[in-house]
Amino acid sequence: MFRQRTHYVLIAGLVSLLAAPAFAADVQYSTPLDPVAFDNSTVKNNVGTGEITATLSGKTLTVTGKYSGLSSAATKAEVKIGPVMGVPGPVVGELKIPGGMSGDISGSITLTSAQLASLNKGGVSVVINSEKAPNGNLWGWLQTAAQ
Amino acid sequence: MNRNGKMIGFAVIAASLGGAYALAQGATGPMTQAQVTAGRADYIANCAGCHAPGLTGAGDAPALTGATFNSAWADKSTKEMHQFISTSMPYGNAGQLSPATYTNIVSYILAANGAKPGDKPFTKDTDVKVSTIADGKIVAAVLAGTVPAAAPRPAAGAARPAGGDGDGGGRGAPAFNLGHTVQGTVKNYSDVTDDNLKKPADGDWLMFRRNYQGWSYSPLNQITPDNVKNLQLKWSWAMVGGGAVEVTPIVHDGIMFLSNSNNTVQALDAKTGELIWENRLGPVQTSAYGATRSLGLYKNKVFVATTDAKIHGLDARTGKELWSTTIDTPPKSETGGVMVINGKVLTGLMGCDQYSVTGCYISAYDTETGKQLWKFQTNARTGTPGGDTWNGLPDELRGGTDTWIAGTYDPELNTTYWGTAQAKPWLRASRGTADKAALFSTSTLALDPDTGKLKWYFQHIPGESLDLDEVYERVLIDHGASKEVFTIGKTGFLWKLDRVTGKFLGIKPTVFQNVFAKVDEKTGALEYRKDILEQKTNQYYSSCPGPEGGHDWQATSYHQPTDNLIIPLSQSCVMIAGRDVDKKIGSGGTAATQLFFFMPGTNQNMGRLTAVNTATMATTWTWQQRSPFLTSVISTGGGVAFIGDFDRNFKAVDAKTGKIVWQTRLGQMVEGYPSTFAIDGKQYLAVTAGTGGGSPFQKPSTLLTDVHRPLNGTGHEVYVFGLPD
Repeated sequence: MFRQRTHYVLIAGLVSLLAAPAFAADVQYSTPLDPVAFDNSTVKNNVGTGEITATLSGKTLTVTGKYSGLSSAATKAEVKIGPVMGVPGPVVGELKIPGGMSGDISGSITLTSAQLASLNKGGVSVVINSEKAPNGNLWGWLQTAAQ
Repeated sequence: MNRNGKMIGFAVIAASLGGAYALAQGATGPMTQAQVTAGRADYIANCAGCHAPGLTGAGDAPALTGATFNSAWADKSTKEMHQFISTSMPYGNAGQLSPATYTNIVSYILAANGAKPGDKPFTKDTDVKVSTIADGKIVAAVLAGTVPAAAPRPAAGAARPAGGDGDGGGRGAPAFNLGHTVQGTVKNYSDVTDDNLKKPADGDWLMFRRNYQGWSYSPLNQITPDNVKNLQLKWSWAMVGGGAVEVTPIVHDGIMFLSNSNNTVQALDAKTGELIWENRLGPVQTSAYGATRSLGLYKNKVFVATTDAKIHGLDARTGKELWSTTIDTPPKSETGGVMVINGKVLTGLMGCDQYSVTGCYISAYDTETGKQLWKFQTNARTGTPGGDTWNGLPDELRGGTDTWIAGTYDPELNTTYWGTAQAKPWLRASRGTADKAALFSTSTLALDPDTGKLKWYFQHIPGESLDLDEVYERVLIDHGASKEVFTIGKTGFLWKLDRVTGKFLGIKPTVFQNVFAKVDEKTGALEYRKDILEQKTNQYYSSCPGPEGGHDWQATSYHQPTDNLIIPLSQSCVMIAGRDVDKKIGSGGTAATQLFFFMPGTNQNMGRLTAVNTATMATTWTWQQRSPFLTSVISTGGGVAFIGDFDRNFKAVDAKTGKIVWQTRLGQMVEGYPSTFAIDGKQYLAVTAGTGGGSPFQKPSTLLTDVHRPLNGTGHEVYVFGLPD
């Protein structure tokens, strides 16, 4: 009886260790940044390219990347969360950018459990706004290599 | 002149400008009568083909009047309207009109919606809130071109675009005389029999997808992966310009029967390219729409359904018209081509997006006389089976369910299979069908070709709400005793059904999609994403794929030797907003605004070619490229599959591996339904190039700014290739 109870305790302890975020392996994400395009009246302004990599450690998502080729200075880099990939959602955080038509992107945000679930569905996007494209110049949805 | 929407933030911009608007409704507008008069001609020449002469919209092009106009433009400024139109239109030729033409067109649209001309000319900087000068109520006198007596007449040449002729102006179509313009006789023509249609001669391509089963496969085996690199151009033929090219060159006994724009039918010697006869049935088309995808042959006749919703029987030997029957009246039209079964010619119907009394239907006609024999209503009427699935809408407000791709046929089961388009307007929030199925939209229909009686139906997407058609080819394939029908639509789901019963057998995704939260692989039931179910008008929703598909009118090919269905796919997304619609006859339309973006995860590759084994539904091979494909696939007994793309490339791939084994570049987008045929024991290959083509050409026209195409003229042409003699 004692031996069986010890087993239960050990198993429960092991499960709790495996489930603890602090011990979870980091997860890598990446995405190219595509020009948003939209229509013929905006496509000339919404140009450029970029790359994003991100690491999820626990609930903290650390983002790095770069962008270039904009037709006007970048004004803001935002993290948005929607339900699935391809659906823009509300802004949940901002990233650092230098402005200008090219530069580096960096920053980190802490995600809630619901936001982590969206991340696993590909619902987290990085959006670069610019002077001529204030509603989105470049964007991309974070994916793991397996996705 | 479609895509009259702007980004979501426009409402905010417009509101912030509101205080500066000085004009009150009913005051004279910021344009002159001369501009309105000139703008009418410019609109007819450059815009009416898509948006219709009455500004009512058609197909992808939204209405430019009424509730749809108001929901898109009332809160915005004339400057924004001019900016959008001058940088976006005409579609596929954006920004190519003169500055005066654009200001004239905007002036005309505003005046047609109630703005009153005054003394001050409209310019690109004129900045007035649209709702203060135009209320969306159509002004019949402006549409008719009746200049009010009190208004100043335009001075000769005033505000005319460079090169304008004073009436047609701009890109006005050249004179095009209708009639039996070239008379000649096909020698040694043999009548096409029922047996010919059931088992076509190897060297013939007698119908849309070559055989009744819709395979787009020819047993000809002279051209192989090894020798395809030796293909050379044998002849080419400049086709009638205007409209769109989506045609299948039909070949029988060495004669090519070709449908052209302006509803022109030609017979050519398929070996030499020599014209034998031509009949210009008309009417003349002015838009990037209106392709006729296929002709039909039976006995001594060739059949064509035309863009004015008529069906004609011509003498295949001479081109002389033997009979003509009205299917419906414009704006109804027919572009999907026809099929012949048991002495009847069957056709679908287009243009059903506009509310009408007659609605939409498939119909059959006597091949000898043209007499209508039956019709099957695809938008179920009140009191008929399926009629209670439209949320109580009166019959005349049940838009859509068009049949714009010809069907297929199983002679053993004596059953013909057709796909139907979605209910319209595109978004359920616009059309008012709530969560109801709207039968028989987005369905596979199994009909008795003798009576038109429905044997069974399978609705792929009940209450479809994002312009994701399931109207395309139904391909009939047997696996042992299992008789199956395959189809794939804009969602990119490949469907397998039992074609005896309509029972669901399988579903396979072929491209990324974010529209459906759940896909039941046991039943095929799809569950929309929550925000799509709860949609409202004038709000944007993401749709991957968008209205380009997934899969569109560029048909698959069933390569029988490998049991693979080779599928052209597109990869793009949209933000789409449904507009408000006037619920009255003549209104309706598609009523939506789209904003395009690259499909995530594709590295901006818009084209994908995929082979799926039809027994296992497993992917055999797949690859992607930047430009989407604009032709159907054809495959052959020689183990080669052919396909053309937006970047003017015509490619041959090894049907077993998907490896590209040959390609050449043509003068325009390679667009249409290629065919292959044999004359005197030698295999040839025919393919068309040109413009038009709806969403599959519109989306890359915006997104692929690095892909250049000729902007002057339509460049419609048929090319015929063969191995060296």
